[in-house]
Amino acid sequence: MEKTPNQKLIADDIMRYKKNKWGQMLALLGLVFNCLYFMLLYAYQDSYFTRIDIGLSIILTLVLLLAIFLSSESVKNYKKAYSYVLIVIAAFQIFRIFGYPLYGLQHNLLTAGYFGYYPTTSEVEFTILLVYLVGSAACLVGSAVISFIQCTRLELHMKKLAEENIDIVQVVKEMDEEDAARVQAAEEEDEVAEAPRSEAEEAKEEEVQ
Amino acid sequence: MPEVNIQHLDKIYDGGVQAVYDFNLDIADGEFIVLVGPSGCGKSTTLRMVAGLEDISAGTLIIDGKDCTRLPPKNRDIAMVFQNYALYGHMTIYENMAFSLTLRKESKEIIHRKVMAAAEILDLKTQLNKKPRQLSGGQRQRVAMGRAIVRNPKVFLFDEPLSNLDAKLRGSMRRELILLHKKLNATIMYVTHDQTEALTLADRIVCMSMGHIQQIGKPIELYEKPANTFVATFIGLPPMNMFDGKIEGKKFVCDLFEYPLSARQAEALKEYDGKSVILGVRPENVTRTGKIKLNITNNENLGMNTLVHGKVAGVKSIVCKFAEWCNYKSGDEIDIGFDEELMHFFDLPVTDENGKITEYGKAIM
Repeated sequence: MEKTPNQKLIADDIMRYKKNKWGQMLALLGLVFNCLYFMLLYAYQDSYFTRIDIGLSIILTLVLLLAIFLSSESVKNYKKAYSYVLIVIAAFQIFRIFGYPLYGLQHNLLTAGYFGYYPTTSEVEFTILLVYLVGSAACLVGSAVISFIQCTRLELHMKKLAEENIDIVQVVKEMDEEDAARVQAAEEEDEVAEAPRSEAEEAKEEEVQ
Repeated sequence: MPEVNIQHLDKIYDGGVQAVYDFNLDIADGEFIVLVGPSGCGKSTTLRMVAGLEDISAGTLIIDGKDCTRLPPKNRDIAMVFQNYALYGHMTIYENMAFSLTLRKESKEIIHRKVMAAAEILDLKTQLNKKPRQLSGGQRQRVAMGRAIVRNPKVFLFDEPLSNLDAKLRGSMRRELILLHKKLNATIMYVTHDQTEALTLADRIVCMSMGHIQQIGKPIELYEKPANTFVATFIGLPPMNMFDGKIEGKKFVCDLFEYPLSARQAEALKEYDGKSVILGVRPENVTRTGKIKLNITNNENLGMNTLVHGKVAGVKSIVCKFAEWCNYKSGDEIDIGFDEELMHFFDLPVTDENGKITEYGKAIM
């Protein structure tokens, strides 16, 4: 059933008091994927990372984790700008595939033991790293899209409330009155249906039969 | 049909201690009932039995025609507001108010409508995004009430909701409660030990002591026509002055003084001639004309009136409330009398073999 204008207004108004939990949860899921990627990345058997790069890599990952976390908290509170930040981070996650994971694949370095599995070639671990990074990016993009839509909805709603000087309590009262009228109409209909038929009506019905 | 019908309610704890004896009360739809009494008199226990938080040992509880004696609390369609607010600290005010409806799996639209309507009634619209710790005590109590209101229950139960608030806030919350009751026209059972709350809020007061109902009536009835010595001394501030004595012809005689009775009093008390009775006089009904000598011990000017504490015949401590500003000094002696239309006479209380009161002295007139 299509929503009435008042119902739409109420649906939008709920956002004033409810956090953007879906946006936040997806961003945090992106963060979890990033952590999993981080764990596997250092399972390289080669000593490629035993250089200054390892420090830079850790710092980069920590900065990313912090950025994702702060963005998740911000989108939870409907801060639209952080939707763009999440898109940028998602793009960076995709870009990272072409860094160490691809290098590891090309030089067959991704052969570390992983939950009791000891691969001889790098394809399996590369695929897992790929899934983590793509998963993280997908979650961040999802969070950004949801947050953008929700923030825009809330902005428009707030604008509408201000411009049209709408009092939500008044809207609630109107809806209550509508509901009461609907209930009363239904009760009256029931009463009419249950009302005893007149003899003339019954006679007419018999004739028809 | 009464909204709430309580018949012969008893509460006996496992150890055999009886907290409530034969509690009978019919509460009409939209009535504001206040249970008042000292600590341990069974008022909160009674309320908790109505709420379903305590098992009912005997008797029946009927809410809106439905026997709720053995029903679990969630099926009784009641809402309770506690003294300590019982708000969830990690939730916003909106979420706190919406919580019970969320548990019932109501739609988001219905929840929002109910919360907004309650927030409007309680003037909490601007606080909905805050956490309880950001609110004052009075606002928190309003949130607790809002949480009850959104459920639209048949009966509201309040267990000393204002006890945690300071005196000023309590006064303003009392006025808000009266307005709230008028707005909602809800049936309310309210427990307090504060007689001011009871007198100002109640349509009817249930005065309790020792697990028994002592008197049920309108506030003015309890004040003007107390059923027994307990109600007489519990209701009214300062409490009623009591004098043990006996009726001798047309006089009330006690160790400290003799007081002539009016013709009406003598007629009403003629069966008590020669018997022991208790005379009760409210402090505001003591006059400064009479033959009883009062040695003043303390003079408290309260602005609109003066409380004068003293000893009758240097023995019996009493308190008088004079409408004027008085400047008595400790040691002064004045003559006092009683407003004869407002003197109360009671039977002696019944005591057990240990001297403990089992039944308060009943009002004679």
